[in-house]
Amino acid sequence: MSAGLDSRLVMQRDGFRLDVALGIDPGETVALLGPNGAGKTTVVGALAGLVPLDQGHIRLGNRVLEDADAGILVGPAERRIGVMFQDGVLFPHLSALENVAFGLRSRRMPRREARRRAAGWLEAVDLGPLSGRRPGRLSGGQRQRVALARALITEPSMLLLDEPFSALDVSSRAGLRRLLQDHLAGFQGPRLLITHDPTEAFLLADRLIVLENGSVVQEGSADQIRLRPASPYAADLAGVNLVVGTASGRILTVGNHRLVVHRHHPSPGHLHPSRSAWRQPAKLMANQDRADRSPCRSGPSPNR
Amino acid sequence: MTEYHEDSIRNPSRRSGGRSRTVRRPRRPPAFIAIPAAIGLALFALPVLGLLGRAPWRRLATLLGSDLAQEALRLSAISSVGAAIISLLLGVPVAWMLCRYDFPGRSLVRGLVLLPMVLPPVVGGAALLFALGRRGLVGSPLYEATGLVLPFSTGGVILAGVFVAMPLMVLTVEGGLRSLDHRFERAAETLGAGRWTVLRRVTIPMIAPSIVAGIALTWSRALGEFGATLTFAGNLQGRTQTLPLAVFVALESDRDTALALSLVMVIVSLAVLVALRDRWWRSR
Repeated sequence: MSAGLDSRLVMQRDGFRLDVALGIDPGETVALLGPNGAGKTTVVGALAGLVPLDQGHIRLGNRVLEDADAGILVGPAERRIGVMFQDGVLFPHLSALENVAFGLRSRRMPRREARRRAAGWLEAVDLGPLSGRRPGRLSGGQRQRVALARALITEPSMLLLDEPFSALDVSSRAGLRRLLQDHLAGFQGPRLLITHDPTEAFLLADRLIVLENGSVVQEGSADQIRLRPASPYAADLAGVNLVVGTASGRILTVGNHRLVVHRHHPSPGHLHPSRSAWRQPAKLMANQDRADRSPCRSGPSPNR
Repeated sequence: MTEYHEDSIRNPSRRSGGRSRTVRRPRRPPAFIAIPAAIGLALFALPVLGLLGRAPWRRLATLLGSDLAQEALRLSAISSVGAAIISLLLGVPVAWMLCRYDFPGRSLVRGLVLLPMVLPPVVGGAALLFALGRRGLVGSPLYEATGLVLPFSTGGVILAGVFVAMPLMVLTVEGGLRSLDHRFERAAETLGAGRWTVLRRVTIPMIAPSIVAGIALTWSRALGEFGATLTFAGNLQGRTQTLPLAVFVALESDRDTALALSLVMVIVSLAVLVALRDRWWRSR
């Protein structure tokens, strides 16, 4: 049942080009991070079958969902990919219960059985007593829980979570995150988490992918991205500063400034000639003249 | 990407959010609003009041029981409801095409659809006659093939009603479709719903207020239709003489009957519009 995702997504529209090769193992959670307009939501649309690819392919195990060259295109209704949309996108005219039951009813399950299962799922996301409410009378966090139950009830082969936390306040974020952690653990297929919040990505994902301007800038674990951010955006994500200059030994030249890399750095001898990550810019500035006591950290960057 | 771009996606739809809108309303409208508004309201209210004041209340039952009145009432009920149903069945697909598909000449088609709204109804009726009359462009082969004659028949009354009223259906439904967030239909698709299920369980229920408003508007427009009906279908008592035509005829000869029939139209139309407003429009 559980099969990995293998895809290459190429789409070109209005001067924007998305070109991403994305593979996710069964049971693996990959977080896709990127600034607004990087193409994150387009990736969701492509994988879900809502926007056709211009080139490339999408395969789940041995099922070909889309192959632009071969002209294969499986519609969104037949892909069995569960999507938890940004802001939930619950049907406003249906109750929480009917929203969750929607996927089963669409697959022609009898109403009574669909409702019974939906009620079970609402219990599982701690919303049992609110099953009769319409989305307009649920809080943001409650709506996202309904959206999660609605996506999972159809037993999809892959799960896409598009910015599940973006509309929530801090306390409902924590609640939803715990719930997601529980349910993701029980979900066997590949999972893709779209977010621009590094904390959520670090906490929920096994692997991070940074997307900028339609292409992958960096891929790896949270630590790898923190130590060796490949772009200013990736550095911002990890809370470090990216200083780009020319390195020679432990001296980094940035414009007119010469910086000495701290001796406690894990591998100062391997300072990459073009880019390094620095923390605490204020201290960096203050210590410029006595650079040998600079508190900065740096590291070699991954090859591009 | 044009349709599924993050910026358009990020805007939460009016419908999806349950957050309360805080509208601050000043206690009293300023004079430069209140005075013209009062004059405007008076323009709406005075004719109705005039009608109510002059209405022959005691003889109402007898007047409405006359053959002329009975036949006009029956004909108007049939033709206005018929026109509203046909406008629904044809107007919703037209609105759908205009809203969802990009095809060459779309702006021309939209202009064509809205033309009956700005055209004098008499001209519309004449145009219908040239097209669908027994010697008309389409009417002639239609007659040859089926023996069907639309002008000066009840069918012609309905057709004239559809012609003048359907633009209102197209306009309201297209507006509803346009303001519907595409993501609801997409979410339904990812949940395994085919096109028909999406239409039946998501799109139609979500644009239902627009559809109901469209029905109300087309029905009342068809009920009040005069010019196109007279030109295309004529003024035959019992066949094509609807309420407005009967009122017009009665004004010459039997003023009290005209008043009684007018009263019926005012009350019925007002009742429907007020009821719909409570049920659908206020809740939006």
